[in-house]
Amino acid sequence: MSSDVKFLPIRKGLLEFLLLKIIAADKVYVADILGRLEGTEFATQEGTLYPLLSKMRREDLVDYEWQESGAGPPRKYYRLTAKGRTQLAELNDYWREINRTIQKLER
Amino acid sequence: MNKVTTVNLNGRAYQVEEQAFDALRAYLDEAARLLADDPDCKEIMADLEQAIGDKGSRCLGPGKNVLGETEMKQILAEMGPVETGGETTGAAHDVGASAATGPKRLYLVKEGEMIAGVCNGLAAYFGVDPTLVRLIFVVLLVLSSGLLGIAYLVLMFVVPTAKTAEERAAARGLPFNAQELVEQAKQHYADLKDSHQRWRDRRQHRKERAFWRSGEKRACEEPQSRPFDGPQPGYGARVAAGIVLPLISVISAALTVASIFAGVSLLTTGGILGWSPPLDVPPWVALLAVIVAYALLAAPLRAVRNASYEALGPRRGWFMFWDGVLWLALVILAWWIAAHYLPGVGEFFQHLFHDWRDYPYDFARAIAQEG
Repeated sequence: MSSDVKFLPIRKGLLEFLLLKIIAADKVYVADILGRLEGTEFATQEGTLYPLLSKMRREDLVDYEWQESGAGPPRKYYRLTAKGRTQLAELNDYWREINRTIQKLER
Repeated sequence: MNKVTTVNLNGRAYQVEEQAFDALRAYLDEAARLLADDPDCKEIMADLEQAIGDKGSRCLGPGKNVLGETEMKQILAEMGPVETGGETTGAAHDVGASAATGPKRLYLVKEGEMIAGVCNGLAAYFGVDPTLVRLIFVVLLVLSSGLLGIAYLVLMFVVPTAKTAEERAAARGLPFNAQELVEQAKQHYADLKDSHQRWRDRRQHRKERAFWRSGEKRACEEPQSRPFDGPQPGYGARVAAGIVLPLISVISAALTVASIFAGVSLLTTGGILGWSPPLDVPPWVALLAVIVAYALLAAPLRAVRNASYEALGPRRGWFMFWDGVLWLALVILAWWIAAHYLPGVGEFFQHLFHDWRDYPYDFARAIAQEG
């Protein structure tokens, strides 16, 4: 994991993409998301995640519902909206294109 | 042994030690400040509180029901700093740094303005006394047969008004930083003393009443502190000000015209209406004396004028505008009357217009040197 500040904008920019991927795979709550990212280059904390999820909800990419948990208070479970799924598909295509470009330039 | 406080984290009560409470409060206050512009501020704050509470619950058990400072610091470190969308604290800092270089811009300055603050703004821009700029302006206005008035109107509509403290600093080309703000605050302190006291009392009262949870809410809802509402003057004071202000305008207009006339006359004929200074006094000393005399007489007039403006209360803007117009009209009227009915003065202007085409420039330069 690189802590180089030059890579920070890349990680930041990709975080939303990764969140869409994680939420698309399964209905998750914040601790799940943090668990999935933990140990990767994209390890994130609540202080970053909550404002970002709230922004994505405002943009109508994700939605949440309250669900009772076995222990403790009810949790917010996030899922993708139709717009979120469209955006994820677009981002996936875009990501593949970027990879192709990078590989082409390496040759 | 440590004192324990109960806190409400998103609807659940937690027992925390005092130092832990302080750390928690600092974290949540900072979060509320950073999220002040976020439309979902309240919701995110609730989420953060709940996350802190959940982490806290994990530290607690049958043998432990109070969160200590170490645990709280650990929890807050896990939470990480609050990051909002695009703006980070670093970016805000950069903006502040660029402002600190102090760019100079021409603004209309509304503090102590006569009409629209054009002369005041020019004075601020060049760092000279506004009265000097006004004197030069009136002289050039008359010499240009009023053409300069059009320039004034254009500037009045084209030049922006310095509204914020930052813009007022830019109008003077001063660096805008914390020290500058402190200086300004000191200057305004005396004026605002009464209202400031009331404001502080109110804030104190709120502080005492509000639980710290609602303190965050306040930060969410009111990112800016409310403006001062100054003391309301009585009706009598406003009426008195309404009568005094036009009188002051008449007197100061007469004074201005007399001073300009005396100055111009001194420079062109070496005397004032036939009286000439003793031979060993050079003209520039006599001119300086005229300017000093004008400043001495105008200062108390200006003080009374400003005091009257204050007495007019919050709706003084229009009155100040019309008072300024009245002042300018009186200057022009007095000039016209002097030019047409005073023997010698009309002649003097004929002389001035025909043979002294480039005189305004010399005159302005002379005054600038004296000033």
